[in-house]
Amino acid sequence: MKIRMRAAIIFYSILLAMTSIIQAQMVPSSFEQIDYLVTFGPESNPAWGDDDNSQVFFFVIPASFTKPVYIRVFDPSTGSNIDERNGEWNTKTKFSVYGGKGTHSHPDSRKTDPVGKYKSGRLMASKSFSNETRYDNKWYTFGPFNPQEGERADEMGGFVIKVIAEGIQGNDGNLYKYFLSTQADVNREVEGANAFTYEYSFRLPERINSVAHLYPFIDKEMVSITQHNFDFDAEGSVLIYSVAKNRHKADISLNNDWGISKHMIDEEEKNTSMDLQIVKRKTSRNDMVCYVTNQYDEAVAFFSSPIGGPPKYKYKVDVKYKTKKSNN
Amino acid sequence: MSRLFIISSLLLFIYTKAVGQQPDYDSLYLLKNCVTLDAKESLDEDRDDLIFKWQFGDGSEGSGQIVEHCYDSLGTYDVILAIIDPSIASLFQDEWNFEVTIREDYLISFGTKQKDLTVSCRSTLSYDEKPDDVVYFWDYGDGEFQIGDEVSHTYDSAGTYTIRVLAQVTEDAEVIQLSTAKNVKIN
Repeated sequence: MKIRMRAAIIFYSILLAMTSIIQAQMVPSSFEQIDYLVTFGPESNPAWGDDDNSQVFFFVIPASFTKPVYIRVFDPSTGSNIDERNGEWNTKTKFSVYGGKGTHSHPDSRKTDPVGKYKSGRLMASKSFSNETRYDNKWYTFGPFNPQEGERADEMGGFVIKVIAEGIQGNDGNLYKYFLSTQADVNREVEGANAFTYEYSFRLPERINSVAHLYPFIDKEMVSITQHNFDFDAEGSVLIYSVAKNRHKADISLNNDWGISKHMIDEEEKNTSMDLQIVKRKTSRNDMVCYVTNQYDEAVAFFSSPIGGPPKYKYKVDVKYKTKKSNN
Repeated sequence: MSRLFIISSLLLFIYTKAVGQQPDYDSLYLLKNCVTLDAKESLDEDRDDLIFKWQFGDGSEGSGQIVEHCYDSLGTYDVILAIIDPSIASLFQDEWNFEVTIREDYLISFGTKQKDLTVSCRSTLSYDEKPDDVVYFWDYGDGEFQIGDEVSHTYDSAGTYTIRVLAQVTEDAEVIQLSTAKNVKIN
């Protein structure tokens, strides 16, 4: 147990070192090439792309940042052109912001399913949105929050705030985005902050040949990972890309089904980000869910801004110059 | 003494005639103008079906784990590797890149000055690294030949002549031949 704790401290120290240069609090981020997060109402069919009608995101604010922060939600209501309609608009989504003790440290908050005390921490703000046109394609702002209202996490070098989106009524799909901002009415990044989740529910880009990216961080204790993807409808490929893996094929899911595959971790992949690439071979609207677990069946965090930057496979190319005489 | 002079003259005659009979060479010689890119060690055993596609930066492309490309001109070129995944018919751009620089090694040129029927010629060899030895052979276009860095020649009559110089550059025991020519009008 002590060893695991030490490993966690090492892991988070690396995060701290690497996040000091990060500036990307739009969720999903530009690195991910994902347009929207998605949460369906509880009466929806999981075959529409959401397994549990819930999404948990964490924002890490560096301890050095002491000014107020805001959690902004784009298009928090259902009923806009970007949302997924099923019959009449009847869906209500609740967004809740948590801080304080247990926000992230409680084991249930790091699970992939909304079970147990996953709403751990102190509720700092909450609001439900239904079919309300005034919020369509607009930002709604929670806050201000004192960063110190988040859970102090020395191993991460800052404070953690949790946002839970729950579909609490209806059967439509709510598509939305987050931004951690220093301003209430405009998106201004918090230097050194980042966002992560243990299960990602999202809308894939519609166009054919698009590639969405998810970035789990591989810590030094990981021996293997198991990727889980839900309801991809077999519309393309899921590829594992890293410094040592050149697009290994992962199992893909059919409609209302899970695709699960295990992949061993190479030594050189430790303490680097991995890139789960989801390549789409159809033009369609498709919502899906992904998560990754380690060899202990613990969920692995996906970072919106990949730790250390997006990985690049390490090509080894031998370059030799030589002379070819052009004269006779 | 007279025998030595005769032998030398004969050798010079053979040599200069031989020069005159040689086909023309380029005035520019690019050493190391080709690159071989060997990416075999990059092969991921789990994905040995991936196709390596190379852009050489001069508008040409190649494919394969090992490719060779020769450049026709001096310059710096961005070589970019893309990957084609045939199983999903997808192209992944900018996987790896490398800057190739093709530099000039030897370039021959010459200048002329004229006075009446006499022309003076001076050769110039541009180089990146000084060669071990250079010999210049001149063809005045009227059947006369000469050897030297700076030479002069008097024509028998006015007219337009093609003056050609052949440089034999010796570097690391290798002989590289370059030539260039120009027309001169003798008044």
